[in-house]
Amino acid sequence: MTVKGRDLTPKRFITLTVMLMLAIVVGVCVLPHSRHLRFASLQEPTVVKLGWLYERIHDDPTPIDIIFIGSSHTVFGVDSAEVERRARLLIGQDVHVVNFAVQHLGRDVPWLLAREAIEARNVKLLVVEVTEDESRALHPAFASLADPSDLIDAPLLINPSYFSELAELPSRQISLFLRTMLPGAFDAAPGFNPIQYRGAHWDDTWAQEGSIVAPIHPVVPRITSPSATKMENERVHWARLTSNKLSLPSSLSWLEWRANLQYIDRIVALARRHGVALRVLYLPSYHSATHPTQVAVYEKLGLMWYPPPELLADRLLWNDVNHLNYYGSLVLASWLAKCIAKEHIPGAQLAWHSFQ
Amino acid sequence: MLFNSFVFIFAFLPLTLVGFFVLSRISPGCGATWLAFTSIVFYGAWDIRYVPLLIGSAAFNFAAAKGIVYFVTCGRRREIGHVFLAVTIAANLALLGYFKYGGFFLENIDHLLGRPFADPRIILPLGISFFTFTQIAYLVDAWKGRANERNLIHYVLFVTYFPHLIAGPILHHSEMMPQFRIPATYRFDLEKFTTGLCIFSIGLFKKVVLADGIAKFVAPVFDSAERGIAVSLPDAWGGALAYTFQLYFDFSGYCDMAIGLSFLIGIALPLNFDSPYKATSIIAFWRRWHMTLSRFLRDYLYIPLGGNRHGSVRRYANLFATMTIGGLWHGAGWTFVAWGALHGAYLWINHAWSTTARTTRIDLTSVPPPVRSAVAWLTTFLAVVVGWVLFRAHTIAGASDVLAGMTGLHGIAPGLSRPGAVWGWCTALGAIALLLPNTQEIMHRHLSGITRPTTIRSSPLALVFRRSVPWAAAIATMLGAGLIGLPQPTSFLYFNF
Repeated sequence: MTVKGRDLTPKRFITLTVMLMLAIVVGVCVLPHSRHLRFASLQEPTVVKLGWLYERIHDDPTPIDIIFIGSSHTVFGVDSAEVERRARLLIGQDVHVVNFAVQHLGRDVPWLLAREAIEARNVKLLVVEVTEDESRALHPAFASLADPSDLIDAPLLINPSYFSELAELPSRQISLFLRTMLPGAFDAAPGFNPIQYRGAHWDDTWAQEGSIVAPIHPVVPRITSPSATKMENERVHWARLTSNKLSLPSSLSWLEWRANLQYIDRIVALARRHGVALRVLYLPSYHSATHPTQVAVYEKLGLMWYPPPELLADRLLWNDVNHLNYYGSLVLASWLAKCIAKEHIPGAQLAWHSFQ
Repeated sequence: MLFNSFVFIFAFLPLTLVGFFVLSRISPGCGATWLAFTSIVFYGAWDIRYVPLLIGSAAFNFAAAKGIVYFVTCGRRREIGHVFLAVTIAANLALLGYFKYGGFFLENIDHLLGRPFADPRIILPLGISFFTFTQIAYLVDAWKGRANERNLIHYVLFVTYFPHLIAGPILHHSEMMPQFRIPATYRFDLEKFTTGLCIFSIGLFKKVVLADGIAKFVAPVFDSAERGIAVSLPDAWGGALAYTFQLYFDFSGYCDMAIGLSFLIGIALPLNFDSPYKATSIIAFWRRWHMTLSRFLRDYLYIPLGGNRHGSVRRYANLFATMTIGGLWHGAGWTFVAWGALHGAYLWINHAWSTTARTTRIDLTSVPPPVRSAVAWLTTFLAVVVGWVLFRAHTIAGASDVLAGMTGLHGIAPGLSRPGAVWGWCTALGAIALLLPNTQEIMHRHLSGITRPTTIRSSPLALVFRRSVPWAAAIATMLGAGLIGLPQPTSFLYFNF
C-alpha cells in the first residue's frame, strides 16, 4: 500500500489502523485458555465456590443426579449432603444432590452453571430457586465466567452491563491466556488438584466456606437467629425497599425483568433439550408473601415447590431476614427430600416426571 | 472522567469533536464556546461541586487582568496596578493554599499542640494547581503588558481546556490565545487528526500497559516501609526503580494523551517530557522533566527572586528556594518539601561542580568520553531515583526505611514475592526509556505548530513515524493494547498534585 516510498493518505492510514486494531482485539478474544482456570480465578468470597463447581462437574466422577440453582437463599438454605442422605433413605437407592447456587441475584450465571452440568453429566432433576420478585440485575460474575459467544448472545434489553461486559472480554481473555501458558509466572493453579479438592459437597449452611487462596476468617457458625425486634425491623426495612422500587408502567412490565426472564427461558429450553425434569422452588425471605409476584410465569416452567409456611414464619430458623440458619436448612432438607421422593418415579433408574 | 476510560474515549470525546467541528462551521465563536462548555462538563464529571470554583476563578482572573491592564496603561497609576497584581496573586495563592495546604497546615498545628485543633479534611479540587499557576502567569504578563485577552470565551477556554485541565501541561497564554484566534483552528484537519490519534495511542499504551503494568510492584514495597517492616536491598531497589518508571510512563503517557487529544481538535499543546532519564546532569534532567513546570518556576519564581543576577550565593539560595517551593507545589507534605529541597541541593552541587571545573580547569580529557557520559548518567539517574523515594513515600519515616533498604541496612534477601517479575519489568521499561526515542522524536515530522521548549531531535534509531503499513500496525497494536486494558482504569499519578 506504500507506493514508491510515499506515505499513505491520512484517510487510508486511519482506516488501516482502525481495522488492524479491531483485528487485534478480536484476535485476543479468541485466544485459548483453561476453562478450569477461568472458573477458579474468581476468588471473591461470594463466588469462590465456582472453582469447586467446575471440578465437581468435570473432575469428580461422583454422579450428579439433582442440582439446585439459585441465589444466596439456596446457598445458605440447601445442605446438599443432608438432602441427599434423607432422599436416599426415602427412595431406597443412591441419589446424588449438588447445590449449584451462588450468591447474588441474576439468572445468567445459574444458567451457565446448569448448562455446564447438564451438558457434561447425566443430570436428572433441576431445581430452580425463585424468590418473591424476579431481579432486574444480572449476575456480576457473568463477565468473568461466560464464554465469549455467551457475552455476545446476552440479552440487550434491559441489560445495562451488556457493553461493559463485552468490553472486559479482551482483557479477560489475554489474562487467562497468559496465566494458562505461564502458570508459574502468575501463581496460577495449573489444574485439578485431588489433594485440595473439597469433596462432592460444598456446604455453606453451617458456615460460609472460603477457598485455600481466599479463606474466610473468622469462621462464623450460622446457628443463631436475630431477636424478634431486630428481625421485624429488618423485615419492615426489606419490605419498604421492595415497595419503594421504581417500576415501569404495567404496559411495559414485560420489559422490566426481561433479561432475567430470558435466561429462565434458556434454562427451561436446556432442561427440555436434555430431558431433565424441572422443579421451581419458592424460597423467599422470612415471613414473606406466600406466592411470588411472577407466579404465572413460574408455574408454566415446572411444578412449584412451596415450603411449609411454618418454616418461613419461624424466626428461630432464620439467620437473617433473607437466609435460613443451619437449623432452618435441616428442616428444609427434610422437606426437600420428601418432595424429591414423592415425585420420584419408582423403578430401577432414578427419574422424575417432566412437567409441560 | 479519565482519559483512559470507555466513557471518555467512546462518548465524551466523539461528542466533543463532532460538536466542535459542526458548530465551528457556524462560527469560530460557537466552536470555542462548545469546547469551553464541554471542558467544564469534563471537569464537573469528577465533582460538580467544584465547577463554580473553576468558573469563578477564571472569571475573577479575567476581570482582575482587565483591571491590571487598565491601571498599567494609565501612566501614573502603574503602582496601583502593581498593588492590584499583588492582591490578585495573593487571592489565587490563598485559594490554592486553602484547598491544597489547609489540611496540611491544620495537621501540623495538631501535631504541635498534641491535640486535634480542627478537622483537616479538605477535598483538593482536581487540577487546582494547574489552573492557578496558568492564571498567575497570565496576571503577571498582563501587568508586564504582554497579555490582554479581550475575548472572555477564549480566556475561559484557555483555563478550562480539557486536555490539560487536570494534570497539565501548564499552558502559557502566548501559546494558546493565538491558536484560538486563527480561523484555521476551527477547520477539521485530517493530517492533524491522524497525528493526534497516533500520539494519543502512544500515550494510552504508556499509561495503561507500561505504567499500570509496573505499578503493582510499587505499593507492596512502600506500604511495607510505612508499616515499619524492614525492606531488603533487592526489594527496596525493585520498588524504587519500579516507581521511577511508573511515574515517568504514567505522567508522560498522560501528557502524550493530552497532546494527542488536542491535536485531534487541531490545537497544539507544549511538550512536557524529553526523555528525562537520558539526562547526564540534574540541570539537564530539569530541562527534560515536566518542562512546562520548570519553565513556569524559572520565569515566574526564580527570575523574579533575582535569578543569577546577584552573585553566586544569592543564585544558589534562589535555586534552593525555587526547587523547595516546586516540591511543595506537588503536594502538601513534608516528603514533597524534602524532595524539592533535595533537588535544590542537587542543582547547587551541579552548578558548583560546573563552576569549579571551569575555574580550576579540571582536566578530564584523559577519561574517555563514553566513560564520562556513563558516570554522569549513572550519577544523575541514581540521584533522581533517590529523590523519587521521597516523592512516593507518605512519610519521612517510610522514605527513610526504603532508603535504608537501598543501602543494604535491612539485609539482602528478597522478601516480597516474584522478584524476577519486578526486575523483568524494570529492565524492559528501562530499555524503552533509555534506548528508544521519545514520542516527539518519533513524531517530529508531523508536529507542526507545536511549542517546543527544547529542540526536537530526530529519532536516533531511525524510528521516525510515517503513514506506512508497518506504522499503522504499530499504532493499531498500541491502541488495541491500551483499549484492552481500559476495563481496569487507574487514575493518573499527577491527578494528586
